[in-house]
Amino acid sequence: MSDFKTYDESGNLVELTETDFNLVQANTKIHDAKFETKTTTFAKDAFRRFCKNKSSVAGAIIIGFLALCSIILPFAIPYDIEATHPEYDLLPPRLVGNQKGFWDGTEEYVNKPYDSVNNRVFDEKIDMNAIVEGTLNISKEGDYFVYQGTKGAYGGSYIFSNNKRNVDASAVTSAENVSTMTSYQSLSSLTADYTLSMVVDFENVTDISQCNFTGDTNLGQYRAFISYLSGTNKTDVLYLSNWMNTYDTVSFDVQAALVSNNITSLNQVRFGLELSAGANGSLSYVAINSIAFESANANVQNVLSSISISDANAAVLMQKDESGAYPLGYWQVKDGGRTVYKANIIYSSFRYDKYLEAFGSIQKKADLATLNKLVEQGYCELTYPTDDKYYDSEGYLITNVDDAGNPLFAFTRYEETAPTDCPYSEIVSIRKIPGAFNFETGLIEFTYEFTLMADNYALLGFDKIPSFIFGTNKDGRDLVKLAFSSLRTSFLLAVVVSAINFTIGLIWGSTSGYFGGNVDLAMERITDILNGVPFTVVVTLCLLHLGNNIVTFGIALCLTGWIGVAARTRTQFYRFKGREYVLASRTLGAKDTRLIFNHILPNALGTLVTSSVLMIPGIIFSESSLAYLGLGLQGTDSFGVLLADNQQYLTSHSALIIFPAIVISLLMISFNLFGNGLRDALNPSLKGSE
Amino acid sequence: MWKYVLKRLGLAVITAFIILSLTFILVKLLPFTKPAGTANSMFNYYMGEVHKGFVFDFDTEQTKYGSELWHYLDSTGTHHWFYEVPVMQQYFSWLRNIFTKWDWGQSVVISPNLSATTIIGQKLPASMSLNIISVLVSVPLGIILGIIAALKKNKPADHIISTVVMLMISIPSFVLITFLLLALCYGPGWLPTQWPSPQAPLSERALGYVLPVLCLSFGSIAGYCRFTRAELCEVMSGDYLLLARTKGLTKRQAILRHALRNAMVPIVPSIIAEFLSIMGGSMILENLYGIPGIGSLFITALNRQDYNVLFVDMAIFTTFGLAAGVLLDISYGFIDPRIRMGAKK
Repeated sequence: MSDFKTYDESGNLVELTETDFNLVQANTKIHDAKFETKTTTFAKDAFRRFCKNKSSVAGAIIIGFLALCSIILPFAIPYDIEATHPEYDLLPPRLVGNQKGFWDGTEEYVNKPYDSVNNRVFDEKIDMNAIVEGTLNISKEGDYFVYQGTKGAYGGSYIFSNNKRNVDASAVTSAENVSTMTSYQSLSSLTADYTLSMVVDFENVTDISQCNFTGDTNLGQYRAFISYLSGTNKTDVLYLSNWMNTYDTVSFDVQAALVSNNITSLNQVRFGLELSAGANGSLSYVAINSIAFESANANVQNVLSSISISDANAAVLMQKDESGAYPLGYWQVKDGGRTVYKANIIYSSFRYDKYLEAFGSIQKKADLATLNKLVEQGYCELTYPTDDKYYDSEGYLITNVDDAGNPLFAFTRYEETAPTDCPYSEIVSIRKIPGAFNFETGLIEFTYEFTLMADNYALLGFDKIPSFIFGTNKDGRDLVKLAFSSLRTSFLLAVVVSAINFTIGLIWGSTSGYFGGNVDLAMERITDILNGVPFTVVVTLCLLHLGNNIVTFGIALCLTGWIGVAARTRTQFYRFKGREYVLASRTLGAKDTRLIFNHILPNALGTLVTSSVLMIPGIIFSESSLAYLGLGLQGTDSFGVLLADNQQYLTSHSALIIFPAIVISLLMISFNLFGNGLRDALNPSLKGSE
Repeated sequence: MWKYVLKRLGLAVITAFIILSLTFILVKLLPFTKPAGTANSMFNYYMGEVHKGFVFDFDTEQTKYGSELWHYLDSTGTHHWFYEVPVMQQYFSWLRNIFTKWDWGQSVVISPNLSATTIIGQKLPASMSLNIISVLVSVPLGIILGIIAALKKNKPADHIISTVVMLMISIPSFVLITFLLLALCYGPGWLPTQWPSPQAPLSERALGYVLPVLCLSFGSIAGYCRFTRAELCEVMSGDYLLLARTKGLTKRQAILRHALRNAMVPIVPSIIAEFLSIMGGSMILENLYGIPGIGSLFITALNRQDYNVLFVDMAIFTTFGLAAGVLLDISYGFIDPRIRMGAKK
C-alpha cells in the first residue's frame, strides 16, 4: 500500500482514505453467465454434422428407399413368384403398352428368314399376330450365308445350282444360276443334274489334304469336283472322281489331284458334288452325312472344321415361288432341327411384342360342359349343330352353313362380359366325338370338343395384359418382386450377421489391443489362423457339412467375419491407448474398464460403427459373388442366387442381369456414401466443428 | 524392430502350417472322391493312394473300416478291398509325404495322375502375368490421380476424381465384369468374349488382356488414389512443409522433395502387400472370363472335388495372404514410428 500514490492534475500528492472508494457491484448478485448456445448431446451433434454432408444424406435416403422397397414391394406387387409359369417366361421389360419400341415389352428382330410361300416368318415360334403392325420389313435380296447355330450345320456358303457345271463364283449371285430350287416333294420328278458345292477359301495347295464324303442313301450318281479361279480369271473345274454311287465314306485326295494337275495356287476354291438324276430319272433328296476336310496344316484345321458339315441327313431344296423370290432352303440335321443354309434367303425384320405372344389370343380347346356353364352364368350365347350329317367320319364339322345357307354355329360373348369371366371369343372348329353307350336310352352319347379363340391373359388369371417392369425370369416370375424379396432376405442376413460380428469383434479386438504383449500375440495368432483359411473354403465346407441353407451361410459368415472388426478395434486401441489423456487418467488411478469404456472406446467408435455398417453391403456382396461363382447358396431366395440364376441370360436377355446388377451397385454406392458421412459424424475429435 | 520382424515371420510359417493342417482335416472329413476312368487306371490310382498311406488295401473284406471304397480282382487273381484310412492317420501320412518327398499328391479328376504341383505350375503364369500387368497399370495411374486430387483439394478436379474413385470402389467386381463384357465384347465385338487360347494369333491374345486388366486394376487404381490423396493431404498440412516454403523453396520443390517422399513411405510397402494379395488372382474374373489361372482352378477343383489340387492352390493363397499380412504389419512401423505393433499397454 505504501508505494501506491495518486497525484492530481497539477502534480500534488492526493491522500486517499477508505471513504474515497465505492463497491461497484455492492448490491448485485453474481452468477455464472448462461451459455447462449444450445446444449447438445453427442448423438444430436453427430446427427447435425451428418446432415450437413449432402452426399451421405442422399446415400442414406437411397438405402432407406431400397430397404422400404424390399419390405413393401413383395407385398404390393400382385404377381406370383412361388410357382413357375412357363407360359410367360423370359419376357422383356414392359413399362408401357404403346408398342413404340421403348420399354414396352417389344423386341427388335432383324434378319429373320421369311417364308414367302406361306407368308410368314420362318420360325414356328413366331406368332404372326404378335408382330407390331407396320414394322414388318421384307427384303427381297438375301445374304450369301446364314448361320442359325443349330447343331450339325456350320458356316461356309452352300450353293445349289441346277446348271450342271455352274461353278462360276461370280455367276452364282445372279438369279438365273442359283435358281430353281426344287422342293422336297417335287424332286421326284427331277430329271436335270444338280451340283452342290461349298466354298473353301484357301490359297495354298497344301492347305487341304483330302476331303471325306459320306452319304446315307443310295440315290442317283454323283461325282466330286474342285473348282478354282485360274490365272486368266476363268473358273476351272477339276474332277476328283468318276461318276459313282458309293455313299459310304469316300476320301478324295484333293492335294494329290491338285499337284498332279500342276496347280500351285488357289483362288475362289469350291468343293462340289455334281449330282446326276438316278437311273429312273428321280432323285428324292440329297442325302449327305458329312463332308469333312482334312489338312496337315495346323493353322487351318480350325477353319476347315468350321466349314465341314456333319450330321446332316437332308438338304431340302425348294422351288422358286410365284413372285420370283427364292424361298427357304433347309439343311436338315439328324436330331430334327433345321438350319437355314441357302444363299438367297428372304429376310424380314420386325418388332415383336412378346407380351402379345404370351397373353394375346390363342386357340384353346373347351368341352361342352365348360361352355354351357358360361352360358348359364349369362356371359355368352352358344349354338352348334347336333345332326350327324354335318360331321365327317373323324367327327369334324364339314360345313359352316346349313342347307338353307344359315350359319350353323355361333358363339357370342356379350359386350358387357369381362374376359376374366369368359375368356373365349369365337369358335374356330367343332368336333363331335362318340362317347360311351348309354344302356338306358340305347344311344351312343356324344361329347363335343370346341376349339375357340381365347384371351390368354384371362386364362392365365390376369385382368388385362400385365406389365412386368423389368420382365420375367426363366420361370415366369416378376423380376422386380423377386429381386426385392431376395434383397429382403439378404438384408436380414447381413444385418444379423454384422451385429453378431460386431459384438464378437469388439470384445476380441479390444482385449487384444488393450492388453498387448503376449495376450495380443496369442490372440492375433488365432485370428491369423482363422483369417488364413480362405473364405471360399470356409463357406464351402460349412455348406457341404451342414447343408445348403441360409442359416449355415450365416454361420459361415460369422466364423471369420468378426476378424475384420477385431483387427480394426485392435488398431484403434493401439492408436489411442498411448495418448496423453489415457496416461493422465491412468495416473489418476482409473481402472482398465474405465480406460477402455470411457476413454479409448468412444474415440474408436466412429471407425468401428462405420465399418460394421459397411459390413452389411459387404455381406450382400460376398453372398452374391459366391453364388455367382456357383459356390454359395442355392435354391433359396437370396440376391446372389437371383443373380446366379440369371447369369446364363447375360447375352440373350440382358435386362435380367442388368436390373439386379444396378440395384446391388446402387446399394454399394449408397452404403459407401453413407459410411463416409457416418465416420465423420461419429468422430469425436470433430465434435462441435462446422 | 528386427526381432519383431523375425518373430512375425516365424509365427507366419507356423500359422500357415496350422491352417493347412486344419483344412486338410476338414476336407478329408468330406466324402472320398472316387476317380473316373477305366478299371486299370482306377486300380493304379488306388494303389498309389495305398502307397501314400491314404487308403488300406486288404485281400479280404473288412468291417471295422466302414464302407469299402472299391473292390477289384486283378489279373493275378488277387482280391483287393480298398478302405479309407482314418483321417488323423491320413494327416500324418500327408505330412510325411510333403516333408520327405515334397509330394503334394496327384490330381484325381482335373487331369488324372498328374501331380498337383505341376498343375499349379501350369496355371500360375496366366494369373501372374495378368497381375503384374495390372499392378504396372494401376499403381502409376492411382498414385498420379491421388496426387492430382490432393494438390487440387476441394476443387472441381478433386471432386470429380473422388466421385469416380467412390464409384470404382463401390461397384462389385462381378457387376463390372458383366457390364464390360456386355459393353465391349458381346455388343460391338471389340474384345474377345473369352480368354483366347494359346493358339490364337498374337493380336487376339493381346486384346484378351484388356478386359481382365481393366477389371483387376479398376479397384486398385481407386485404392491407391484414395490412399495417396489421404497421405499427401496429411503431409501437406505438416509444419515442416511450411518451413520448406518459408526457407524459399518453390511449391513444386517443396512438394517433390518433402511432401511426396514422406507420403510415399507408407504407400510403397502397401504396393508390395497388394501385389502379393492379388497374386492369387481374382476368382470371379478368372471364372467368368475363362482364364486358366489358379483362381479358376480353385473353383474347378472345389466343384469337381479334386482335393489334392485344391490343397496346393489353397497353400499358395494362404502363403500369399500371410506374407502380405506380415508386410503390412511391419509397414505400420514405417507409417508412424509412434505406433509400435506388439507393444505392451
